[in-house]
Amino acid sequence: MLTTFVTTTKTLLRRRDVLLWAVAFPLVLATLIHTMLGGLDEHYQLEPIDIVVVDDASYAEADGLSDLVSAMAADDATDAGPLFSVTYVDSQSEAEQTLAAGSYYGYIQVVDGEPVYTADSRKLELNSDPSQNIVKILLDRYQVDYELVAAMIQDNPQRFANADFIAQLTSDPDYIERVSISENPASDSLLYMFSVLAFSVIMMTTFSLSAIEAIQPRSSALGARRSSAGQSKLRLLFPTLGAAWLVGLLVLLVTFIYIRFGFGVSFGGKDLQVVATLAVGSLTVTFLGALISTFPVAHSIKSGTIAMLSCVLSLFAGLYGPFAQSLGDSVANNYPILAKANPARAITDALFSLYYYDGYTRFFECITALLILAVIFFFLSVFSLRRQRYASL
Amino acid sequence: MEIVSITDLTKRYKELTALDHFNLTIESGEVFGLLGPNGSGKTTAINCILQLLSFEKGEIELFGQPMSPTRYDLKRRIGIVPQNLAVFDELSVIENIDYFCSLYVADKKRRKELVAEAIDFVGLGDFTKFRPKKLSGGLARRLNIACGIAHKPELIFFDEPTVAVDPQSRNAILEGIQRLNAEGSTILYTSHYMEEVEQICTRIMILDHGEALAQGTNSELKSMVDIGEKIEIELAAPSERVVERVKQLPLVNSASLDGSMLKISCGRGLGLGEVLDVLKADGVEYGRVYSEPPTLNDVFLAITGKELRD
Repeated sequence: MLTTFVTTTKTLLRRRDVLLWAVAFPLVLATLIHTMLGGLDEHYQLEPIDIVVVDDASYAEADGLSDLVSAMAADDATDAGPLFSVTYVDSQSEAEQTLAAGSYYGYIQVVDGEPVYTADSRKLELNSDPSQNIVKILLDRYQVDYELVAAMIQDNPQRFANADFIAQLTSDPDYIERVSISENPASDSLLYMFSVLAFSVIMMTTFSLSAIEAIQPRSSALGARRSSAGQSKLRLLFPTLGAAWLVGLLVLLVTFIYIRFGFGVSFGGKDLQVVATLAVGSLTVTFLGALISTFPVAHSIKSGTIAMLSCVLSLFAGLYGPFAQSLGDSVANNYPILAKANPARAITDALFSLYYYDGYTRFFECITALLILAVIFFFLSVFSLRRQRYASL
Repeated sequence: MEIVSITDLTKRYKELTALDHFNLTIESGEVFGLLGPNGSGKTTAINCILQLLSFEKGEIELFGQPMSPTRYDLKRRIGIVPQNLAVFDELSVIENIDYFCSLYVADKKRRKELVAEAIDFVGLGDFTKFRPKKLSGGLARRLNIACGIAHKPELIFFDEPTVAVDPQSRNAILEGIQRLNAEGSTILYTSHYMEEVEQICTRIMILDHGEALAQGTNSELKSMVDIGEKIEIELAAPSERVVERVKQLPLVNSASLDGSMLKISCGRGLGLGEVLDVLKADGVEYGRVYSEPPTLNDVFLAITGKELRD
C-alpha cells in the first residue's frame, strides 16, 4: 500500500499539464481578482476628510467651533484615526483658491457668528462619497447645540451655576451599545478570495479522477494490469485516494500561500483553520472525483463534468460577483440543504465564518457539512468500485 | 499438471458471442499459442481467465484450483503482458518495474534483485532512468514485458506482445519468452502472426469467432488438412500444356500460370522432387524454383476458407 501511495503521489506530481492547470488557473484567477477588486476595500477604510478653515477673527470668536474642528482633526477623533485633515487659511479668497486645487471637499468660514460650509461642487457630484454629509451633520449639530445652549443661558442663566447640570449637558452618553460580531474589518475582495479558494478545491477533483481511473480495468490498460495483480481493490484504492488528497492539498496550499503572503490578504489570523478547511474540502472532492471516475463514460466526459461542476458550484459560492453572491444567498436561504450539498459553498461559508465570526459554531457547521458530503461520496464510490468483473472492458 | 483448465466458457457482448463453449487446457511447462485473427476472442479469453470480464457460462481453474476475482493467491502466481503498453508514463523504467513487482513482492530487498534481473533480462540496462515516452516502440514493449515478469511468475500471459515491433526487437522478445519457458514458466501466447506461433509454441489452438477450430502441435495441425508444399517454378517456355501435365500428377491440388511462373499447390505426400522429375522427363526447361512448406495460415485457410490476416 505504501508503494502504491508513493507511486501515485509521484505520478500525480509529475503530470505537468494537470499540475500546471490545477496550480496556474487559481493563481491567475486570484491575481486578476486582487488586481481588479483590491480597491474595493478602500471604500471601507475611513480616510480623513480634507477641509479648509478660514482662520480669521470671526472663526476665533465662534465659541467652541475651533475646539470642535481641532478635536475632529486629532488622532483619537475616531477609532480609525482623525476625521478631518484641516488646512487653515487667512481669508475667504485664499480658501477659494485652495479649494480650486481640487483635493479639498470644502471650506468652513464663520459668517455673522455662524459657521458656513462651502462645498466643492465637484465633490458633491460623487453621491457615493459620504464625506460631505459627515461635515454637514457635524456643523449642523454644532449649530443646533450652540443655539440651544445660548437660548438656555438667556432664559435661565442661574442653572449654569450648577456644576452637575453642566456636566450632564456636556456629556455624550451612548444610548445604543455597539456589538461587533467580528474583530476583522469588512472586505469585499476577501469574499472573492474565499470563492477562488473554493473553486480551487473543486478543481482538485481532477487528481482523484485520474488516479482512480488508473486502477480501474475499464478505464485503461494500466488499470486492467493493476487490477489483475495479486492485490485487493481496497489495497489499491485507499493509498490512491490518500495520494490524490495529499497532492490536492499541496496544490491548494500553494494557492493559499500565494494569496496570503503574495498579496498580503489577511484571513483574520486564522491561517491554520483555513488550512484545515482546505484539507477537509480536499478530502471531500477527492471522494467526489473517485465517484465521477466510476461513471461508465469516456475520460473526456468525466473531465468535462468536473469542469462544469467547478463552474456551476462556484457560481452559487459567489465567485462571479454580486449577482452570483445574491443568487447563492437566495439559494442558501430558501433551500439550505442545497447550499450545504454544494462543497464550494460550504468551503466559502466556512472561510467566511472563520473570518467574520469570533465563535466557531458556523464554521463547524460548514465543516460538518463537508465531512457528511465526503462520507456520502466515499461510500458511493466504494460501492461502485467494489465491482471486480465487468461485462466489457 | 494442468496449469490452466477452461471448460465450456461462453462469453457474450450483447448479441456478439465472443467465446462459444470454449475449452482450453495448458500443461505445466508448455508454451501454448492462441492463434487467430483480430476479434477472434484471444484477449477476451485472457480477460476471463484473469476475472476482469464476467462470463455467462463456464469454469476456470488455475493451478488446479477454481479461479475467482478474489483469488489473489492465484493471481500472484501469474504475470501479465498486455497487448497495449500498460505502464506509468510519469515513472522511469526502473520505477515502473519496481512498482509492478511491488504488487506481488513486498520485500524491498528481494524486489531490488528481481527488478535488476528483469532489466537485465529485457536488455534495458542503458535506459533505466528513461521515461516510457522516451523509449522506441520496441524498447517500450520490452518494458511492458519486464513489468509483467519481474516477480518471476509461474504462468505468464503474453497478449500479442510483438504488435508494431521492429524485427530485431521481435526476435529479442521471442527469444526471451523461450528463455522464460526454459526457466520454468508456463506461457500462454496469443498472436495473429503464425510465424511467431510456429516458432515458439509447443501447442497451438486456432481460434476464430470465439470458437476453437483446431488444436495440437504445429505438425499435428498441419496434418489435419490435406496441404503439402507450395511450389513455384520459372518456366523458360510457359505453356498450358505443362500446366495440364502437372495437374495430372496425383496429389496436386491446383496448378496455374502467373506470367512465366508455374504455381503448384500440392497435397500431402507430393514434394518438389517428384514435380521436377516429371518436368525433366518431359524436357521442360526451367529456371528459379521456390518451395514453401505448409504454414498455419494454410491450415487456417483450409478450415475457415479465409486468410488468417483477412
